[in-house]
Amino acid sequence: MSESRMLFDQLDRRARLMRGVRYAGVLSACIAGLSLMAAATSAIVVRPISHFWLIVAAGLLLISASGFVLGYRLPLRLSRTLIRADVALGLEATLSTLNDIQHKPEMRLFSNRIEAKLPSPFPLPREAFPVGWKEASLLGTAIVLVSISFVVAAIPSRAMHREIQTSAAIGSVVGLPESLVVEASSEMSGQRMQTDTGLPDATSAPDTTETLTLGDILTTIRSAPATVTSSEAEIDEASLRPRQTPELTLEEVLRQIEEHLVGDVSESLSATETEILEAYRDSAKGELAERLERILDSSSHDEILDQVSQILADPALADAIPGSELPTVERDTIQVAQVGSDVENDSAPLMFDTSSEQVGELVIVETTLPSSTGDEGDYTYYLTKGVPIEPPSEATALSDQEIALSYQQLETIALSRSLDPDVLDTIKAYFDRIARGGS
Amino acid sequence: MITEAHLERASSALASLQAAVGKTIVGLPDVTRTTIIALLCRGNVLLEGVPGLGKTLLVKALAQAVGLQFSRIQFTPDLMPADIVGTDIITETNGHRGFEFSAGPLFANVILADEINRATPKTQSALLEAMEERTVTVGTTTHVMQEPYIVLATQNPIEMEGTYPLPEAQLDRFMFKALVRFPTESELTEIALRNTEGEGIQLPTPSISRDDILLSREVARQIPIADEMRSYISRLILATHPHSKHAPSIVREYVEYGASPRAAIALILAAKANALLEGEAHVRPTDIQRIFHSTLIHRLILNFRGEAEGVSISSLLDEIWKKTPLSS
Repeated sequence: MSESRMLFDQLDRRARLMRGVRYAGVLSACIAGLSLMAAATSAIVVRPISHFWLIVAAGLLLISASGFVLGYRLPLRLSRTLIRADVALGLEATLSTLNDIQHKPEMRLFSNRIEAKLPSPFPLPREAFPVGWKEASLLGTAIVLVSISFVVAAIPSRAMHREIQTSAAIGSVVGLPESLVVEASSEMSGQRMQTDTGLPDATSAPDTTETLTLGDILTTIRSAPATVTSSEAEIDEASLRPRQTPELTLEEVLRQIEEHLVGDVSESLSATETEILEAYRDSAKGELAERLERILDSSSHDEILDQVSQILADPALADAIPGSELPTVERDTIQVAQVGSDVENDSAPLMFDTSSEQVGELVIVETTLPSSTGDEGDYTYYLTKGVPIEPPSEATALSDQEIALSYQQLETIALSRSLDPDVLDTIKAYFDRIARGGS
Repeated sequence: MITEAHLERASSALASLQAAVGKTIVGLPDVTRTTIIALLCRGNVLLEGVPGLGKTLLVKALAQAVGLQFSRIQFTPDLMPADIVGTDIITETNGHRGFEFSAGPLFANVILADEINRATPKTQSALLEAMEERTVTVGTTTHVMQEPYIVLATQNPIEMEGTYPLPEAQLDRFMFKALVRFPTESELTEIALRNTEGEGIQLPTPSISRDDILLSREVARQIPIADEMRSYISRLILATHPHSKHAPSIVREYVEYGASPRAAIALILAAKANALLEGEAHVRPTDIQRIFHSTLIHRLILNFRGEAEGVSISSLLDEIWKKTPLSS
């Protein structure tokens, strides 16, 4: 193979390489543009796409690679490649003419003269086909579009906005303070964004994948006095009072355990669930009674708390507690509930008296509920549409017009009624906040 | 088949010719080059310029330097075709009478058709066959011109009263239209010096032979040109047409008709001859650029708007050149 032929092959490879880069750039820019549109559409109009960044990255990689291979593999017209090289290198059509006459014997005289006039050493092929502004601009466009699409994907969607409104409405129904409702909603949003974009979110709440148990509540109660500030104490005296008297708190917790075992919740459970729970209760009740007796006889607060923790850690007893058998809900599998619109549209804000709140439980003052939320079944009170709250039993009622509701009760009810886990998370956060002394 | 010796001989002959004409003609290097290229390409040249710029001298010098027969025809309104073509006359030989063709001034190697636009179209058209076919038909007899044959016509662009502008068909038969510009100060001084000192203007002595010209023609035709360059020339020609996709907006706006295929042929041949004149072994974009204006300037016809606005065809050609990339 002659030197000129080798030179032409090098130029041809370089030209195809650059065409591959251009193809990859064009396709990347197109895909990035489509990703941006998809991100904008889904984030603003519909709902965010799960693992958006992964889809975009994989798509870009695949399409870019395909474009490059296509551009590199498809043959180029050599004469056109060479005239472009001539123009780029200022060779005045030398290469293209040489290529045309190389195989003509009658032109040997001229081809020899042309070859003799080629610069030596010949410029590198990359000088003839450099990475120009076209390639750079395509690459830059793709990067910018992908970045924008990621940003757009991180924007809370209108669907999510509705979800936040739903949480707020639920908070109103169950008497959540406004600040807590907003905070809980923000946490949900942050977690949602992290889930959807897959990007780490510095503002997201700590992992709360574990179901909150009474043991957690007790642990929180134990550590609560150290975190209380004077300003918080000034804001809500009612919420401070239980922390100042841990005995009362512990008694209330134990009362709730007893309540679970005794079983006012049976009205909200199915027949099968009730049978199972009763079996557990029968097997565990005697032992629990003895241990509770010991607890009540204990002298120090810490000792009492330790013993209660032991009770809750005991598998036999834990099995007897209905809430502890419920499945743990993983954050990543949470699906946004679509109940918000109903609540948002149907329920007027409900005002509850929260002055008598106590740690670890929610006190709801009896009030008149909108007729649209209370016309199903025998229940008078509803968390949200279709999710009733049991009326207080005679034994556990704090007063004639108050209902004591623990998180365990709520969780049992909500999960048996297929309440969305996200809503349950909000409620859990609320109980957690109450347990930590928040208002 | 062209050999190295042929190439060398042609190159040196053309260099000698250029030098010889250049010694007589002050300035006008482009016009001189264009004329020599036309000679190499079997073309004809229309020289346009005001009187006194040395057009006739240029033609005389060229003919003299090549050692070819020169003929000058002053075109006037009463000039008849037979006056330039020739006619059959009765002759008597050995008591035998018969018709004999008496050749007109067209029968030479280098023809100077001075102020061609002053003759009637009938006489002008008598040139057509000679210019294109290199033959002249009188009666039933067709006479072949002797090669090399070249017609160099001149016309005065300012004295248009009583003139007969050349029709487009005839204009297209001129390979080039060379605009003879007014000399610069230094050139003018040099012209005055040469004409007023010593023996005055001296025509060159023959520096090359007729065979050298014919060989050079052959070599020029063999100069290689890349396929992409041919495509480029085609795009250039198409760009002169207002309805072509290659045409720039200014062409679409001001041009009525573009150049003919004959222009493309002329561009390729002229580019080859230019490459040979410059000692190159192939046609370069520069060769095309050198002859681009003179090849196309008389082949574009402006529309009414272009005429009314006084659009310069030269500026149109500049735009076409700029807007037509070599590598598409």
